[in-house]
Amino acid sequence: MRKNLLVVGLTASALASCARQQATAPSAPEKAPPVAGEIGSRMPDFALKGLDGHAISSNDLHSKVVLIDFWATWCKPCEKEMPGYQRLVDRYGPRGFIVIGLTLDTLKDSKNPRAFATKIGVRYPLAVATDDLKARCGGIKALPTAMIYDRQGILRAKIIGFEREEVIESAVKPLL
Amino acid sequence: MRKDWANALRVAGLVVLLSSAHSLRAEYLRVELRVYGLDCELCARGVSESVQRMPGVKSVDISLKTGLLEIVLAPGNNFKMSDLRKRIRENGFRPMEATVTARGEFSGPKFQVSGSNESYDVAKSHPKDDGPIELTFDVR
Repeated sequence: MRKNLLVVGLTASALASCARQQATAPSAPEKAPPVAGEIGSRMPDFALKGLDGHAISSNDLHSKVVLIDFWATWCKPCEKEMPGYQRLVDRYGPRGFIVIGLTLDTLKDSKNPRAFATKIGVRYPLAVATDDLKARCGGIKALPTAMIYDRQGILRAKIIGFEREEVIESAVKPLL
Repeated sequence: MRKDWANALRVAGLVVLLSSAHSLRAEYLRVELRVYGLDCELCARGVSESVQRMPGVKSVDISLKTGLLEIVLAPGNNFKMSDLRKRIRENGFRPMEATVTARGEFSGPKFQVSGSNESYDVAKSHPKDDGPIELTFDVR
């Protein structure tokens, strides 16, 4: 009888331990969402006043392929790159491609950003990047920085430093 | 059957020849290039990233203080100095003098970088014996 009780006890203990193990077994690890500014992260919400006075809102960018370009008037590579962005807007704008230029005000602009952009042929929307928006884009540590979002607002490419128009085009085209 | 083997050997020989030719591709090893007008830190980082994307570039270091761009190349690269200078100009800056370390051989008075079509008048006495050597020289 004592032997039987021992067997029952051991069995119950083993089952309980098993159940406990099942309860505490680690589930499949959940993938952490990408950090702001990393590929796969979402475009941050923003509402800015454009340099031309018009509002620029992320709400108006749904289902568009968006390139956000961080630039400055004192940044030579930015100046070289921006006319190429305008040509891409002219070419792919009808298919839903938008460029928004966000100028950095970390250094005082000796030139008027709007006049500067007009002079180099840029007609796409421009605004001043707020510190908060820069932070929510993962921080801007180099210029130019181009962030390309797909129609779902997911960051698909981040190109830091000057890049040729055809390379930017090859990143944008598959998303259209 | 013997003919098949002969063909297979011929193909294998060709593969070996092609792969050895590949290993002789451009042998730039290190480049220090002075860049004129590089006076903004954010732009300098941008230039560094832009150069880093060039084929064959292993690492880039840039000094705002000296305006010097230091590039280390990966083995067997097909890097060209002319491409680097073009890249710098595309970025809106002016490439200046450079100190280059490369593997190559002398062809007459010129030092021909292995696997590239780039050669330099090097103001150094060159060895008479044939074969590739590693050389550091200034380019203006």
